[in-house]
Amino acid sequence: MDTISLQDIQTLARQESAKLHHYFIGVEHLFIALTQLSGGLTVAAMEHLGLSPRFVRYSIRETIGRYEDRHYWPGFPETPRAVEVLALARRYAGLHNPSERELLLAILDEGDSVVSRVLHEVGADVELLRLTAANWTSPLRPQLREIPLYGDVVLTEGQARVLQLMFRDYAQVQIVGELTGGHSGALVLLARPVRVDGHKDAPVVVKLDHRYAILYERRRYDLYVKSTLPTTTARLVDSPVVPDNMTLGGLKYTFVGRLDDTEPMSLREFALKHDPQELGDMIRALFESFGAGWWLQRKPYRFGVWREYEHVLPPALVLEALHTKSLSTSSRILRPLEGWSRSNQVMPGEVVAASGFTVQKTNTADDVLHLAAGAQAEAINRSGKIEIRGMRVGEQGFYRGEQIDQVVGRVIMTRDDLLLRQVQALEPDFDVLASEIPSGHETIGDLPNPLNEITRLLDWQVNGTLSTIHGDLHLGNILVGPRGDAWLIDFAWTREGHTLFDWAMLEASLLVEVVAHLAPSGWEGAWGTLARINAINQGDIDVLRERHHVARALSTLMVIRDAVETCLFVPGRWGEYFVALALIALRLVGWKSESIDARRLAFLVSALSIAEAQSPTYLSSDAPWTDTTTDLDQTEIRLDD
Amino acid sequence: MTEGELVIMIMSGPDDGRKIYLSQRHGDGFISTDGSWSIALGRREECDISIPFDTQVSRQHAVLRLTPDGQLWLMDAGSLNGTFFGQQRLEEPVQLERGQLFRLGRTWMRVQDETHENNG
Repeated sequence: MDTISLQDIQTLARQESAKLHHYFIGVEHLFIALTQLSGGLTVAAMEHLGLSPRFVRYSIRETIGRYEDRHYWPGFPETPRAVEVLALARRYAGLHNPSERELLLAILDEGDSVVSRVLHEVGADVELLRLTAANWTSPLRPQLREIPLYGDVVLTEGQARVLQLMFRDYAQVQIVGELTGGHSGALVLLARPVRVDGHKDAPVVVKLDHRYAILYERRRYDLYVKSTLPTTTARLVDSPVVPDNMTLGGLKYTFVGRLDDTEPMSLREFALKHDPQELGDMIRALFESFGAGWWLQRKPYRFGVWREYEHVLPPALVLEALHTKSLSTSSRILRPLEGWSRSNQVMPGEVVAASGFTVQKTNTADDVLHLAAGAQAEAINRSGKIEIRGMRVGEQGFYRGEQIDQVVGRVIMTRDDLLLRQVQALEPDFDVLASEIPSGHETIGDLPNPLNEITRLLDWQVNGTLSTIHGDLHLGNILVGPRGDAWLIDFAWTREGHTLFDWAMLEASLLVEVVAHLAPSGWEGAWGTLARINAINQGDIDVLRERHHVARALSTLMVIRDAVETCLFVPGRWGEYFVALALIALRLVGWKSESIDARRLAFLVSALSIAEAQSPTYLSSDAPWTDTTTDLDQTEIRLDD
Repeated sequence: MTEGELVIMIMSGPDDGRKIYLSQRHGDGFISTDGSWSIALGRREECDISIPFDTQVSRQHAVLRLTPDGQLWLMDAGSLNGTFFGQQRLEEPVQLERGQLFRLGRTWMRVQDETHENNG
């Protein structure tokens, strides 16, 4: 029979004592804690004898009463009687740690406490209760008491449960708000734990996600982040909470450094409340504090674009599982890191076998298995994404990082189909299948259609630099502290990667999440904003002086571009950046949580960036930064751990 | 039992379980002309039994008196919140048996049926 540990009981006792403003631990608090363990021995024995634990608990509270909220001493000292009872419990436990049973017996045997008096008053047969508890052998299911969670964020039962486990030593948790939403399956919250004595701790960032994602994030943090952080930042101090019987897990980012009582906010929220100038200052501060450890590592790196950027696009293929091993001789066998995902040769309706791919994610609810090249953190391992439906994910128990021998399936959709759908959802006023998008503004010419160009772009070679990067640097993942510190959170995709990945992400996020909301709606509004971005691209910064919200907001863009300029492999060769921006902007077209106007702007920014990347300004004969050689060098690739 | 000695135990609150040893010989309390020994109880530090953390206890709250023939009497000393014996608020002195609980403010206590010989 398992009983609950003394430590957990003492935690509950402190909560009870704080609630009554006692701030000491008496036998009565310990006993009330016992009556709150709904799967515990005390409750079982009392109920067995027809005693209501709740009634007894209330009677004790009534007897001892609530005090004025006044501290006379630090902490929660034990009363002399509690000390005596705990010593007795330890004696009963002998060589073991005392548990619920020993504590209950000690309380009953001591016999002189408020508890004994109340039990006597309510007519309990204390001797019989002792006997029942001492000889109880039926199974029990201990449960921890529920910690109240307050706030406006709607949580599933599982999410609430993980939160309660994460904050089990606290009296309650106030959910201040949700920090990022909608872009991934994870829930990121700002929470303020309240201690049992009523003291509010500094806020922490809580991330709830699939247990594997949580464990991976922790590993990436240890690998890439821990040693490179500036002194004031958010850190993973506690171990992740991943209950054995749940698919969910949780991580806690604790702020280290200068803090006062103000809650930090995400830069996205900050942007809506502050002047663009201040937003720019924050981004500059971020670059300065993290730059040395991260983006300024500047290891020369020549890479095929697909290595770093294919993973931001929708899966290369969506398959319907066929549950067969047999394959006709004409069927293609797709393997990781081969050119098939950039060749446009696999067609819907075709039966193919995916061989040697690694599980990235499982979605039991929709029965979808997400596969990609490998398990390591580098972006290349997420290239060649395949989504397989109808795998009976729930029954098979796939896990993240598992390598799948072979899956046979019929192609339902290709990446082109998926991208086409995303663009059609923007209600285009042009032919989405044409190679060019006709200009929507007098200062810009026709633009290349990303749908037409993207596969080709993936095969380009780029000269750039390799650094530690955040991997998902949108405004929601940057927090502003009360004293103007910039903190990063959410290191789920942190890795060694193309340095400019982060800055292209940040620019795209700024344009979509802030600037787009200031522009008039419709395609016309998006083109108007694009014209200003185009002017900045051409070095014409006079547009920033216009007395218009969009123009003012774009002053922040200049700060990002300053950081990019510092990070370029060859000074002045912006093509390296525009390739990154073209692909990442296209990714944001698929952000369902953003307005249609914001996604329209993302699409046009992708088109404009492709035009910039192809511009002869950035191509020069002495040091070509791009060529069309396919990079098939796989020597650096490690597929599993 | 030895004359002029009392052991009082606090029965609730932060000092629950604490024993207070009082002895005439050590100068505790006050001896009246009739030979009875009076013990002052209250929030003040100067009281023989001081209860500093109970805000419902008055500075001078109650008096315990041990008569020369060994009787114990409890009387209220004009406290604001009263002295209780059982559910009864004291209007006049009441005789106590050792082991019976009484209450000042919200602090319960009792006179132990023991001396402090075995405690030195």
